Amino acid sequence: MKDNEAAHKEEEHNIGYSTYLLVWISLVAFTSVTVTVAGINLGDYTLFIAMLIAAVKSSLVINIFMHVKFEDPIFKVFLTISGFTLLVIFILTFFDYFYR
Amino acid sequence: MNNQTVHIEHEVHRDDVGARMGMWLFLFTELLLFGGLFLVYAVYRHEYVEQFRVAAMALNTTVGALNTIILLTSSLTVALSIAALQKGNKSLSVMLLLLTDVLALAFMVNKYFEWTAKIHHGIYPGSETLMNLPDGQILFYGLYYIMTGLH
Repeated sequence: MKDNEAAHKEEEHNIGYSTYLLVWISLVAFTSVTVTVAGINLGDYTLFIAMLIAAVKSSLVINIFMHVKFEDPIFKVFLTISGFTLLVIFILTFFDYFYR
Repeated sequence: MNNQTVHIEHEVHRDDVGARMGMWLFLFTELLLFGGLFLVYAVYRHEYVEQFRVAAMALNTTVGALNTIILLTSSLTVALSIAALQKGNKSLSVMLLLLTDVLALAFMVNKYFEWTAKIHHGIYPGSETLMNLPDGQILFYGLYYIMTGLH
């Protein structure tokens, strides 16, 4: 456990200002892609592309900006469970909506 | 005497992991709060595909994009602030946090202009113009005001 903690500390020190800047640049780039895609009509793909980009962006924010990548595994377990809970709520609601 | 000093030092309880976990627990409640709103949005978007598209097209993409970039930048300044603190640079850390506050203010000003433009077009909750629009668009603008307002 002690070794694990030391390793965590080391990893944390490795994230420099430049990494954050790089992540920020890619987030802004993804945002401009979303805006551009919203302007042109791609039909059924519009929503899919927007959701895909949103997923990549949130993964960048959660992992790097919010340090989840360098956290104890229990944080990832919590995050997965809460995300899965939300997914289940969405699926159940849409089942109700479609087969009502 | 010496023993007592040691004892007092042990009394200082510090649990960084616990503190971060508390923060995440709070964020999970936020996830459910906004998740519920997005669920409502998703269902009505399905029910009124065309009207949601028309209403969404009427929104100002530039202002929306600008606000997204402001939010992303304020995320950056907080992340940088933590990095500065880890490197022991307290003044830089504080400065970055102040910059975050400035960005939050910029976000509010931006939102003010966005909403003002909408209200000028007669689109605000309960307005005559809005109530004469089709149901789907009334729902869209209702969700628009609730979700951006709560945010």
